[in-house]
Amino acid sequence: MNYLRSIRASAYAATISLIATIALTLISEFSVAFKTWLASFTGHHWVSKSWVSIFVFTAFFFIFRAANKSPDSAATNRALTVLEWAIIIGFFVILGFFSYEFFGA
Amino acid sequence: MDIAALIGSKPVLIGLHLGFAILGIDAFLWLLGEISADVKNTKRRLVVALVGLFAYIATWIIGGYYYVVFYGPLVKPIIKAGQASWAHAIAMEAKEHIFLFAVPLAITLVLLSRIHADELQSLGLKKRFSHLTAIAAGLGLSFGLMGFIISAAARWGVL
Repeated sequence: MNYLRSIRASAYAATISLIATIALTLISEFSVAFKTWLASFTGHHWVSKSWVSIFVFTAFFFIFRAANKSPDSAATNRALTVLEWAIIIGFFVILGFFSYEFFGA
Repeated sequence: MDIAALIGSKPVLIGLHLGFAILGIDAFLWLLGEISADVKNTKRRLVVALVGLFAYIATWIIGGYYYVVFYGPLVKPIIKAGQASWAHAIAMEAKEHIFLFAVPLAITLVLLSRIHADELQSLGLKKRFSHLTAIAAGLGLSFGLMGFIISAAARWGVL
């Protein structure tokens, strides 16, 4: 079913975009040089991260869509489960990191 | 004052940012109700999901513009110098980065909304669709809470 193909691709692309956002966020907090380099593309590090998240999502959406032309419902469910847990864990990783950086570091 | 200057002014930008965020949260809560009630009207569900997606995109662009142009140079120094500097260090930093999860999630929800309620049941996707829709609304509510903390800290900062 064509619907499932797009849903599965979107779920995995969103998960990879989320991981890229977390990675860029953590690296830029540990390295001022990296944060400055990131900001050099758009004038602000957060705007650059926003564009990276859009680019990563779009690119991986088409890659996953092309890679699996007819996923079944179980494969789609798996992709949605991965996305669900990635968002929950990602939320607490970012919140926890900035809390630790402020109170603990 | 011309209309562009009015829209680009600080209070109007904040109002639009908040207004579109509330619209997005409401749309995803409505969508959650449609899914839970097994509503057969796929077209209505898709429209509600699209409203949620476009509202989150609008609040991203408007809030992002305000953040880069006004928050950084004007508000951030006040919060950092005040009694609640953690509001920027934790709430703002978390909000601006976690927000980047929201739009890819909303796109996934729009794609899921195209499936008929009966098919959602037979394919076993209803539970995940419900959970992810609740997460989309929950993320929006958490951004609202963080936004409130940031605004309150800016006010305390000048007292």
